[in-house]
Amino acid sequence: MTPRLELASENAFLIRFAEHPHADLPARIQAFAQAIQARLGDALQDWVPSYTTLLVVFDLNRIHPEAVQHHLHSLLTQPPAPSQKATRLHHLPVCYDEKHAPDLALLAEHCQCSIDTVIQLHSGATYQVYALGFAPAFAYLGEVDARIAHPRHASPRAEVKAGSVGIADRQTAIYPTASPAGWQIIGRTPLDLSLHQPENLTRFQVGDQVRFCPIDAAQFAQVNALDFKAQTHWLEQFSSHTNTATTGADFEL
Amino acid sequence: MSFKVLQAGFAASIQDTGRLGQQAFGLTPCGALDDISARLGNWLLDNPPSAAVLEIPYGHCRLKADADTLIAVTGADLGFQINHQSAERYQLLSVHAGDELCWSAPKHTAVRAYLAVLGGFQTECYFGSRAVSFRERIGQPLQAGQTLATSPTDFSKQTPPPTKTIPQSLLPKCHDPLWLRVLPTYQNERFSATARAQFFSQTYRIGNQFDRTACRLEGKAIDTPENTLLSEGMTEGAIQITHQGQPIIMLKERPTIGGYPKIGTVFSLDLANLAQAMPGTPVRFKPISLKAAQLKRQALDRFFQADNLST
Repeated sequence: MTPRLELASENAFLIRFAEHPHADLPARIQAFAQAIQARLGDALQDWVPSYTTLLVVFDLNRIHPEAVQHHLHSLLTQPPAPSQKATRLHHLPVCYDEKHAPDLALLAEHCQCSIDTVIQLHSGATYQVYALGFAPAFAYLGEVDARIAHPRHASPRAEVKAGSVGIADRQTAIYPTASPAGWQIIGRTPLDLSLHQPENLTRFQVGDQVRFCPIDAAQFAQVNALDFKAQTHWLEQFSSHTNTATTGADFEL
Repeated sequence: MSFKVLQAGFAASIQDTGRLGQQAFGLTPCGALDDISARLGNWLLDNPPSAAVLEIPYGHCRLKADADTLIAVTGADLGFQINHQSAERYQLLSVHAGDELCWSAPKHTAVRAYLAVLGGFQTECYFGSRAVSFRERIGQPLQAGQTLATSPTDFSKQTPPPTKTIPQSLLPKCHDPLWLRVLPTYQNERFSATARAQFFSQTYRIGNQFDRTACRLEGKAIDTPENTLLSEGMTEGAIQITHQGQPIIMLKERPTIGGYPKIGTVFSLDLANLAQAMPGTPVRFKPISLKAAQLKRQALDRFFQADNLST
């Protein structure tokens, strides 16, 4: 389908780029969001990118709605090209040890593969951020290998620990804070991704890429005990190391 | 100066115009639920529109002032008293060190009162706003014993703000039923003609699940066009129809994205009246044209802006 404009409120439009999610969309939507920010400036109140859509909320007292429509139509006619160099790649350490992965063994059994295979498939892919939501800094990542895709729990757990990594169908995500959770928990990152650290709010954005790097329980404990500044420093070294290595498991603190 | 909280009430909280520009990261916008009443309090005091106010749902709240200042109380009539004497809403009031402010309970049908104070409350700012988010645990709802800091204005040397008259049209309205005007947005056209007709012709009731995130309505179920929809950005007032065919109106603390089909969006100015309603209130919907909604919204914003320019 060709992208189209839908009304969302008296001061908001929803741009629908496609009917179904596609790996090309996050970068396209992000490029479009940046272009509309440049065009509307202060008149842009908010924007919400998601799988196939971008919500654009504007200030009726700073710009005429027809002018907004004009800008959106012109950007749809000549779409801004996604910028390759702007794509950020995050390496996130994940411990798949059973004490951090309450659903890993059952998920492996359901998927008829070994636990090691689940870990390899989950950490072997590069994911894209398709949407942020449910909670701030909660990034919906896709796509999980079909062999380890698994539906949510029929009823959610009352609480999972902050940093828990879950799978729901073909999506995966990290819970930034302890929260109720319906996803299958297969691991946990030792990093503090919560809003207690304000810079975490903007850590992920739609179109970013994410790779999970397996670490063992001892490394988890070490990194988890660090304060945020030390974690950030550790992550920088870890990421540059994992850029050249296939796995982060042999990386010493 | 500051106010000491003697009695915290039912989830009373500091609110302002909310966090704009951060929904792209999943951060709920927040802000005063009845934003017209909140704006009027600041307008009376000549505060900046973004000054923080105290939102008091259903009363049971008592504060003690520790210095002299000016306040304005707007929104619902919750039996507001200063030192056990009935006090006026919608006008400037002087309070003095040691004065006790009290909101007991709704006297009519409206339920949310707002306390604005000269210079605004100076509680901690998170992500550019002092608005408390219950969902995201940003800031804290009011706690007994807590101190609410306000601007250290030297009140005795300041010229008091001019006396202003509030336009009647901006006072909270409690109609029976409460009429909400709706714009045809999002998946509106994917609902069947029958479903849309049922939506506009029936009287809903506000259910018990009504908080700062959303207001659930109860009525005769209507058919929804599809069961699965990819989550997409939700505006304030977006009306999601659940799989059970019931409407949920998204409010200030909504999640930024949602996946139920949306039959329309409640015109933003009507959400102030919805914020004042209590569970059980009958609600009807009627359409409004885009042009009419835009003109009304612009006129309201101009009313507040024009005044700020003149001062």
